[in-house]
Amino acid sequence: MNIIQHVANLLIRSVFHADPASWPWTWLVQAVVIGIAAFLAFAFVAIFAGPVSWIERRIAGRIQSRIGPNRVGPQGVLQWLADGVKCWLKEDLVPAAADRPLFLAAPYLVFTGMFGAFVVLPFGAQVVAADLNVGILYLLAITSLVVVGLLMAGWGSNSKWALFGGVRSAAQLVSYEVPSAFSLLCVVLLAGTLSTQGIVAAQGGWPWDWFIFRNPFMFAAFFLYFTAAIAEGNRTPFDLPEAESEIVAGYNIEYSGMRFLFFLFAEWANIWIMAAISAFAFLGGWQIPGIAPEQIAATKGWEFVGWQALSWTIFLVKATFLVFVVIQIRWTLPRLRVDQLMITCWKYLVPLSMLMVLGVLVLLALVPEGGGADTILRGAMVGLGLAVVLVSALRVRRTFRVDREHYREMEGRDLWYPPYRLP
Amino acid sequence: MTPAEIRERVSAACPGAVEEFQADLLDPVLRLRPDRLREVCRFLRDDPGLRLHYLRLVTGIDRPAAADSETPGGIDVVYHLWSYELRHGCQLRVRLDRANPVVETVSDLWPDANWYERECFDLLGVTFAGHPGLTRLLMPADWVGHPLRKDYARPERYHGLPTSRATVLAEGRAAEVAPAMHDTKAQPIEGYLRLNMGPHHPATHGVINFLLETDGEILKKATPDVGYLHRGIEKLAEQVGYVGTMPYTDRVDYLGAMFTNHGWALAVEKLLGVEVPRRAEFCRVIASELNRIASHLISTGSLAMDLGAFTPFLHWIRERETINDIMERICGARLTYNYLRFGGVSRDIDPETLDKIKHWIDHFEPMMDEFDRLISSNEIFVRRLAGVAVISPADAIAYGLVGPNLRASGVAWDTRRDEPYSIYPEFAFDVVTGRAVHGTLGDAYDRYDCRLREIKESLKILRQAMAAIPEGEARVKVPRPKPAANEVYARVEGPRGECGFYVVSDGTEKPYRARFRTGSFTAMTIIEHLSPGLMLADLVALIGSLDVIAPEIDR
Amino acid sequence: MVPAVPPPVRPNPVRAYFGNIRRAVSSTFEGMTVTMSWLFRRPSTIQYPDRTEKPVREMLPETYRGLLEVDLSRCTACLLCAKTCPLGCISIETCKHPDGAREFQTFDIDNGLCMFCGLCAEACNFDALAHTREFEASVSSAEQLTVRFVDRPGRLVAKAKDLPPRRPRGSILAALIPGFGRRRRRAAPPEPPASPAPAPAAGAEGPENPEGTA
Repeated sequence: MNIIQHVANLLIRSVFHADPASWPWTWLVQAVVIGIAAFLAFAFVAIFAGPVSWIERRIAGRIQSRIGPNRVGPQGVLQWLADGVKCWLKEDLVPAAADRPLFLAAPYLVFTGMFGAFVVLPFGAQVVAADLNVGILYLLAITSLVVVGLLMAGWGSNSKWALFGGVRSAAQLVSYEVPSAFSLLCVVLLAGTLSTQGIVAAQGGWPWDWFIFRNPFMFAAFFLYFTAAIAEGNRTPFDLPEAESEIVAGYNIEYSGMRFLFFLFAEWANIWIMAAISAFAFLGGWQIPGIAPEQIAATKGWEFVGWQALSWTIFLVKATFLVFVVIQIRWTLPRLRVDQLMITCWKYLVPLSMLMVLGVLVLLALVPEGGGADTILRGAMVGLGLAVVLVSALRVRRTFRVDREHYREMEGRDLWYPPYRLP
Repeated sequence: MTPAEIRERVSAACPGAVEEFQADLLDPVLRLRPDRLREVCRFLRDDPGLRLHYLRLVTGIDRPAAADSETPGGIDVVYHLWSYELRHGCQLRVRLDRANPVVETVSDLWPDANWYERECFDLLGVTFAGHPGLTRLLMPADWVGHPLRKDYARPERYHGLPTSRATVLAEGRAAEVAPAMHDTKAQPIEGYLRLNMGPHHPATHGVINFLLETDGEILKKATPDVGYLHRGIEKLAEQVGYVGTMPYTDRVDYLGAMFTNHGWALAVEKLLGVEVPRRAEFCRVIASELNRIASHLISTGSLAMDLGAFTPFLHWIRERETINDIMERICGARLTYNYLRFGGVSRDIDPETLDKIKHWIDHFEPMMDEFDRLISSNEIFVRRLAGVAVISPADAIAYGLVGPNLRASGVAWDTRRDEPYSIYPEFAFDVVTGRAVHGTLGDAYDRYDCRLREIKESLKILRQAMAAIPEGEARVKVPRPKPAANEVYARVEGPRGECGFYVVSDGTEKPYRARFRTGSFTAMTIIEHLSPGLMLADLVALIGSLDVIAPEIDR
Repeated sequence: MVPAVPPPVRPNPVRAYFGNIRRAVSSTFEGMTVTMSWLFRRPSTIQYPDRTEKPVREMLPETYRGLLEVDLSRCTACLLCAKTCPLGCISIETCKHPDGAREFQTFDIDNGLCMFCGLCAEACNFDALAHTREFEASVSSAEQLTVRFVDRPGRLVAKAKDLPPRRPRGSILAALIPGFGRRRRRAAPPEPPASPAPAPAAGAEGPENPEGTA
């Protein structure tokens, strides 16, 4: 039972003094509650997509040795509000030769595609707008709506550059659905359910219970999914639909004001969605180490709320970390060419993700869960994960230690140019 | 082979073609009969003993009849030829009738003559018979008159737009007419999508327009359309005199102003016969090499940005910022240096600045490794450039590519080493050539790679120059230049290759004709040749890897 | 000279396939360690114009070629600068008094034309015309771009024999055009008296009329 049914039942019992199981209007109350929940999710997204834009710009700034927005609010945290208001106040231009209905509707479609995904995201132990039993399928389907929106924007703008962007994005998103679906299939195989909450419940709080560290194929599937998700989100190195140095701004070149903001909004919300999906499908979602989901469900009152909040926080932390990785990738890599984009998908990601599905199946048959081989496998994978983290930390440290020694050598000399002061 | 020997061979092969051998000029010129030009040109290019495969420059010079002389006026067309293999060159001149200047085209012999001849047609009205598509290059298609003619009078208005600043100020604002400035004759190809890339496009590095015919992402043809930044600096040079032209040369190549300064100074110093003090030469070399690094930083960084990686660009901008600060100390400006003077430099470089340069080099060298790790070795970056837009060595020479673009194709030619000027022979440095690191020799990655390695060579030169800089004067006083009638061609190795200045003096304080040969101009001519079959994103990589900048093309 | 192009090497396709993956992963990883390390270094930009440690003008070297200014008390009206200027952005007019002294009618520098090449300042033999470090020259109309240095009638042309000392660079311009650098002056910390700061100099100069602009 999820939180929505919980609330609905509570309402029926306390306000209407009826038994939810037999009362004829239960569906209506549930619908209203779902509507309110959807609105809350919507508001949450709106509030989250904004700060993601600020985080992205600050991180980009630091990566590029500059400061980034720091004027609006403390350290610029309200910059996204200022930008939003600015965009709102700007004129909503529609090109004279545009296909007006398509042009006007496209941003909303993109918006809907992105925000529909939030319905099934499991934020906490009981915090999910709707725990559909076809959750993963729904996710894949609703995010495909974005393609239609982008194609409409590209076509409706009646601009050749926009058309290029629209067609590019259609080809790209349709292609990358395949590897991302295959990678998620690995997850579904292990969890035995399509429900998003079910997937989280099939994992555990400790890293060795996460799907990513279950076996080597899952480990690879995570990276394959992550790559495909970045491509689906039109992020560098797959940002061809809006490649500013090739097709200027692609599908959104003719947009201005609020409609333009919708595209940006959808982009930032999408970063968060892809991070959230990776987090719940591979990284254990909201699972709290040491506490089973049943124990949380059994608690009452403030204790219940406390556990919910904790699980929610854990999920947010995991997702935000992945958001950060996506942002960092964007500011590191150049962009692929169109043919290379397709090669990456069809020659590399698709066969590899198929291989992972096969591997997971074989391991499911060969290695029974909870057995000795399973434990060894999980242990080895956690070790591998730790090794990756350690190696990157050492590499980063080495990178700026070279610098630090260099500047120590020059210490005592007057550094007249902006020095790269180390922490 | 000296020009005199070349003349002997030409006379032997094409008797009667040479009308006059002007041996008294600083760069001797063979004057040919106009109707024999093609014959001679073909011989010069194909003769195994001459092999003049590189057409350096085509210049038109208007010479109206003087009022007091009987000699009839005419229009000279001067061709500068060079052979990389045999290291010799010669100049050809044809004198055409001023009323009806017609000469046969050489654009089929040297492909880069195509644009040179269009420019000559545009600015001087010389018709090149047999030229494929002789249209105006720099001026608007419907412009009346030929600006480089001596009797040219500027129209007061063009489509209602005032052409002088005074009129604009008097009228308060510019007229509202927006004329179709560049009506290119390139007809759309049936079945292909016509796409206008530019003049305002992030990847064109300035206001350049490319008319693309595309089949989806794949290009059928890309036709460059230039002239949006044409300021007529060659005409200005005729008006403001030798001294006054120096600041204008900054504006020819705004990323490598030191080299255009240097080329101009060399040309005029050759005309005047001025010796430059040794310390001044060192100052010139130090400033030039710093400028070369700055220019290559922009070039490599913006190439990365064109391919979608913004971070490396900003890191290079940061390093270049420091060079700008140093330049500010050396000459007082960050971009338009105007540093060189005839007979020296405007200011000596003080020891403190030298110290700062040393600091910066110490800091910068590790940054190059970091840059390599960040972008040069990145697989996506490599794949975007390797094997893309391959220029064969023969093509590179025939299209007149110079500098890193030429060397990336494997032609080891560096003006600093091979036609030495200033004090470059005293320094040990390597001439970097393409190594086909990740693909084919002469691909876009080689051009990028060459620039990066050239930065390292420049650092070498800088270190040597700063260690060896002698004491002394940085400038000798040169009276206001008034060279006797002569002709000279001086070249320096700029960041975009050979930066040449062809100056014709006539004994006054103003050059009779000044002609600037820039690397970007010829680099543009090869784009149309390379474009078929490229993808849209490859064109961006090609433009970025050729390092063309708009003011150098249009001048 | 022209090298022979080596034939392309065709690698084993399986090795090439996995080599591609390996290189893509390792080079991305390598690039990300570099960008990650920048998160731990301080930014190198400054916050122009209002949050700099000192005004940017004072960070510039003495050699900087900013807006031109002329110290009329040292100007002999020899017209060398006007002749040297490639653009003709300096216009000088004088008239002769009956007693032989010459008086400035105009000494205008058109900053809209000037390209800051420094040829005029080099030509000046008396250090009258010089570049300042002032570079923020935006004004609200095209006429204001012309700086008129003759601020009052009766400015006599100097004699080359007895010239007063050059007034601090920038002070004349600051007094003439009150708009230049106004915001900075408020934000800047108190300046040491030794520096050629425009604010105290402008105050010290009694007769200088700040209404110099046309």
